[in-house]
Amino acid sequence: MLAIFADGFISGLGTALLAVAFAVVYLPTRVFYIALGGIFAFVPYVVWACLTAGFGVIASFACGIFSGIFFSVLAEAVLHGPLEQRKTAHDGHFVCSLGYYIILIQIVCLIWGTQKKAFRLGADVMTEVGGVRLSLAQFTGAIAAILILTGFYLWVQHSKLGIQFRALADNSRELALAGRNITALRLLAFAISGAFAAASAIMFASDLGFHPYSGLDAVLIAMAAAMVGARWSLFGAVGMGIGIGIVRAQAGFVFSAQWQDPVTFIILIGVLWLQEVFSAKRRLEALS
Amino acid sequence: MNYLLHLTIYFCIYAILAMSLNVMVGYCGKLTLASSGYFAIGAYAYALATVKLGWHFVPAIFLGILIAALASLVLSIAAWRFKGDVFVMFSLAVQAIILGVCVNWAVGSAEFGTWANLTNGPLGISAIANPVHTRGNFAVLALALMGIAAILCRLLLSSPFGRILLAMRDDELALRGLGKGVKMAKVYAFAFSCGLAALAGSLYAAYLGYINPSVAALDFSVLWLCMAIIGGMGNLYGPFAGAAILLLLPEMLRFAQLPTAVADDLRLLLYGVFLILLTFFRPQGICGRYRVD
Repeated sequence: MLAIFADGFISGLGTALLAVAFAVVYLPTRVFYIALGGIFAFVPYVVWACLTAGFGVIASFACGIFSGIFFSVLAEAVLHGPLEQRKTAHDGHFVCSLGYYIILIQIVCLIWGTQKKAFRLGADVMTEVGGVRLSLAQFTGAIAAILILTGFYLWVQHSKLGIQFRALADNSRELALAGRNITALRLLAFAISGAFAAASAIMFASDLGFHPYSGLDAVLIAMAAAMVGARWSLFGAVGMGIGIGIVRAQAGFVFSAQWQDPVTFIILIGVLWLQEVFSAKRRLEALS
Repeated sequence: MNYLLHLTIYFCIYAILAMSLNVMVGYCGKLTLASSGYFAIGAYAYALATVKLGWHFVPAIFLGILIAALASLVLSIAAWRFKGDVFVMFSLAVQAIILGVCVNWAVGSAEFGTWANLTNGPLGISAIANPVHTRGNFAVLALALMGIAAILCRLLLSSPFGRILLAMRDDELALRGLGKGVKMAKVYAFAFSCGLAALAGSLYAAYLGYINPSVAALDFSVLWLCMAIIGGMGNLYGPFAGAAILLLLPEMLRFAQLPTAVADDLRLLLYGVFLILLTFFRPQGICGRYRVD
């Protein structure tokens, strides 16, 4: 039972990273950033290509992270930034992001094919932590995720740029009126998002392997976590992401792995309804 | 000739689906990712009704439409409260649940078609009845059903109810201020849209004679949404343009003598490029009126 909980917690950390990646873009820009699924799918292939080209593990992971940042910044510079200048509504951003996602996935398919790949050959080294047996990929992934999320929390809460970043998420228009460079901050949001998505992709790929279509499933669950947990707070996504990981592991244990997605989404529907039913009554004009 | 008939049948199925999305997105202004779920409901209902109950084509199709229309309540009631991105998320959840049901409503040892094993799980359902025996006749049947769907769409959307939907899409608050029943309009429109998706699903099941849970996959929802957006929405011509493009693009790539797998990837890549270009330069799609921007 403890092993299943630990397994869920670790996979939840990966989901939390991805949920934060979605939330850091969604909260300040309201862009429904489905292209993260493409970045999530692309990054492991970059790491794999670097590893097979003889790069070291650290260098390969760094290349993967940089590729994530590059693709995400590219999305803002070429697509969402110009659309924002045209005052395009959220649906337009969503459609554009969907197009970018499809392009990234199909590039992966054209270059590397559709077969599942893994970073290592054979079984992973096992280690025991507090009576729970974990693979080395799980253990190092969990430590890395905790360090990244803690570092991000400290940066957002205590640094000057982090405070500007929070202000961007809370009220970007007022921040612009205060003379801050919104364009640069938006680029930063997309860069952070790309880095977090890349870190999450490497974490999942190291443990479970990867294929071109792994991105959408992972990102949709993370998006759901972010939509429910982070509609008003950046770090609600972390809690919800970890919670979803634990629930999915339990659902897989009690029912079967194929029930994980339905159970996850039934719970999310329930939470969304409860949030809506028990939220403060809004004025009629606020509903339009 | 057989191949042309095959393309015609697929064109009809895609056009009905595009009309379904046109009602939901183009007229109600609700982006949805649940269309493959309702398509699957139609396909499974038709398959079960014909294979297990021995029903004929028409009642089996109506069963699928009825179940999908009832299941659309989940979406339409959600649309009373949720809008924008949250509604997209909600539709995604509905799609995931329908896919989960298709995959999991099957206990290995139980007989297929019983309460314990309704969908036959990942194995799917085979030997589904085809109401006509030649491909040519099936093409005529598909064209007739597409024509009926188009006439129904035309009648519905040019009626006062259609104008209520347009007004609701453009300014729901103003419409409520005029005392119009927005909630029931959503219920009827979503039931109609999901019923059309189920009709396309039934037709698909009847044509292929085999279905499995992959018909409810999210990839199809995404692909069909692309088709509807590229063709255009908010009028009756866009869905046909979208269906034609979805069908003709792989045929054009066939002339490039590319391997099938590469041509498939390239086709999807082009959809992605089209989506981006249209968002920037023609947000209403090729033939549509509703701007998704």
